[in-house]
Amino acid sequence: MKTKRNSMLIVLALCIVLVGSSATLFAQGQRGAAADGPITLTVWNFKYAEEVAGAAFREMDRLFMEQNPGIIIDHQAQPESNYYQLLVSAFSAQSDLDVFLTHTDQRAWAIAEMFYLMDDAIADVMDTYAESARAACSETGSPDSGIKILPLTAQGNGIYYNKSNFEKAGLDPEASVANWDDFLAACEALKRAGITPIIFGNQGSPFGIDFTYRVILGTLLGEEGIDGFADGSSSFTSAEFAQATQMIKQLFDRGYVNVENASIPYFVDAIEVFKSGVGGFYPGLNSDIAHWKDFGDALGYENVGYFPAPLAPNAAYPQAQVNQGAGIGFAVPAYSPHAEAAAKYAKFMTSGEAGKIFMDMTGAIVPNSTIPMDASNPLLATVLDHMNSNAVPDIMNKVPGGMINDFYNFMNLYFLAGEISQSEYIRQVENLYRNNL
Amino acid sequence: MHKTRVKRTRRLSQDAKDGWVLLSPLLLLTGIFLVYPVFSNFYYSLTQYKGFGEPVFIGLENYVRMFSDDRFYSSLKNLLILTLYIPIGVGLPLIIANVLRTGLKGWKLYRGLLYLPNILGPVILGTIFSVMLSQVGPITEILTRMGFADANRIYLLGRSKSAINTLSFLFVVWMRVGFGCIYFLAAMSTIDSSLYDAAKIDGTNALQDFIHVTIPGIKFSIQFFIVLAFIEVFARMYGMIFTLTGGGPGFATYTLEFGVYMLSFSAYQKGYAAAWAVVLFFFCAIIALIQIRLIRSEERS
Repeated sequence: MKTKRNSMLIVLALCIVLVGSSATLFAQGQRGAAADGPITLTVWNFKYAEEVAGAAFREMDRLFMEQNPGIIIDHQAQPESNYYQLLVSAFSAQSDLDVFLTHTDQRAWAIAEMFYLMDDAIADVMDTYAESARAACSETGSPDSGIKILPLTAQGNGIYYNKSNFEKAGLDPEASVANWDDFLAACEALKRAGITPIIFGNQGSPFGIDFTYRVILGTLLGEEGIDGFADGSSSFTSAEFAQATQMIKQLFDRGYVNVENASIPYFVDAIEVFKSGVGGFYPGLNSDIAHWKDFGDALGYENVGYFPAPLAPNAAYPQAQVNQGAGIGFAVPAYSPHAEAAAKYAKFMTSGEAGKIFMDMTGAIVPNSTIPMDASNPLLATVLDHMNSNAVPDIMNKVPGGMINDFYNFMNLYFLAGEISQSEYIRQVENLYRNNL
Repeated sequence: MHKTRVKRTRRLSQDAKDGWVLLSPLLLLTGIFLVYPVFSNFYYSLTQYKGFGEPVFIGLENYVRMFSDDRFYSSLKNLLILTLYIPIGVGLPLIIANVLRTGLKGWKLYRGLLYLPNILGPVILGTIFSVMLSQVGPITEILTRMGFADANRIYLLGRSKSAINTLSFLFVVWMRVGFGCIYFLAAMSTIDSSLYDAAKIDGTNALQDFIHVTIPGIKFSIQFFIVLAFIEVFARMYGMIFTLTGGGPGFATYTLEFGVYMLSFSAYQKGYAAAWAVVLFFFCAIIALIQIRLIRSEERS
């Protein structure tokens, strides 16, 4: 009996030793890096799986490793759909992560206490980053301090239009259609000519509605009104939000948005539809997803027009161009054992030769003076002209990230299903907002 | 006599010790992965916490907020609708299993086909159906080509009532039919065939056999399947909701489990999510108690 008991105790002790040593070895493996060998930087990137952007990042990495032989880059593609959930989990577990691509909106700022402060790392090149980009990448909103993300792209929203289709509809492609009545008249003419007036793309996440909201609200609320959504001083119960809602609803009610053009996914189906020459207007993006290049390459740059927003008659900021300052950028987790090397990598990727590779291959506008933009392209020149003047922030960058999914669900319920009244829709959106502040 | 009893007690005591030694790894794991999370979750429900950094104690604020949150009440309402589908989700495989038991030509093929949804899993099925049922999906296309001009207006996932009912049917009924059939067929195979022979002598028909012999014969299996269905509805629906509807439109397909995920990982409100999880735990605990009671009554019988 005694022998049996002893055997059991030995087996138990062995099990504990095995589990304990496995856990220790696993933890050591997680932290990687030998003390005196080359450093391996683990990079997470939600755009790495994209064909063009991925190729650009690989080329940029190759260049970095060539110039920094002591550093190996382990660049890993991550899914965009639950990227921030993965990041939070990584932060919680202090996983093996040294650099990550991030947006510059509230999804990032809500967890920014885990980001490494870059001020010292970029002190020598601070001025090369555009002031608006620095402000967008600063935890405090200041362009001179609190910088926790290094901007890879600028980003903004606007309305693209197909000039060839305008001509087919009897419209003058060079005349402005930004005023709301002109915009509606153009939609009507396109509809009469059998051309889909607006390509929206609302299947799943209603980005078509979302992007139209952003640009209209920019012209109605201006910088101060938009900024107020960051701290709760602005409200979705305002007359401006109601007006923007009515304007978008009007597009549905008049049949300018129909099932065929609105019920496809924005990324990438709706984009492909507009590129194929279908549709009059398209609420698009300006940089890290560079629709000016996408549409210009497909339709011919001379056939694509651009303006910042459809304008309500009472728009207080008619020149306003939604400009996030920075769209995406690289950040470093504060716990990274290689924070300095990681910051060096982030700096390299967002400037100079590497930044130029990204710009040339993807059409992104990289907000760094070491990468001069070639504005000889008339469409890009138009976009840049608007982006560089009368910039207003993007409302979706200011509202809490936690409300976006539910906000989209209520956009679907109001605009697509038409199940609730406008007042109920606004009440619910305001509740979502307050609940997530 | 006395000496023998002492000896037996000592021996039993030694057996108990050995038992505890053998049990200890499992108890340790249960403590770490089940008991501790339950208690720590309750603690976090009293805090403001993002999932990293230091939690800040805020008392019952999360619960006060939860009871004034539309999402919470929508989740409860949706769970009620989902549970109303459980009788169909249990009855249908039961009937199909009975038909298969009585010998249907090619039943092995049917069994394979019926089991297919279980192989694919909720995430893949949710993704497939989100495409199939979209306004520009293949079903709409087929209907349109068949001459239904407004087929694209049938948007089952786009309207509140049809979305929750579609989700309920897919998850509670359709997805579980295959497993239910296999499960009930296995249970039915344990019924003594002499009972059916005796019933036949009494002149029963197939329906009477089913009601008076089959159902009483697999009563425990049916009860257990119902309990499993409740567990799945309350605690295993997240994957399908996320891929099929994202909780929408509005809050039409929100459930407590989905809310816990969204609040925790999308809104970084782990403290508030923990309060939701406490309510979810309460429901799951009731289901577990019913399950334990059923098992005990079966053992007694």
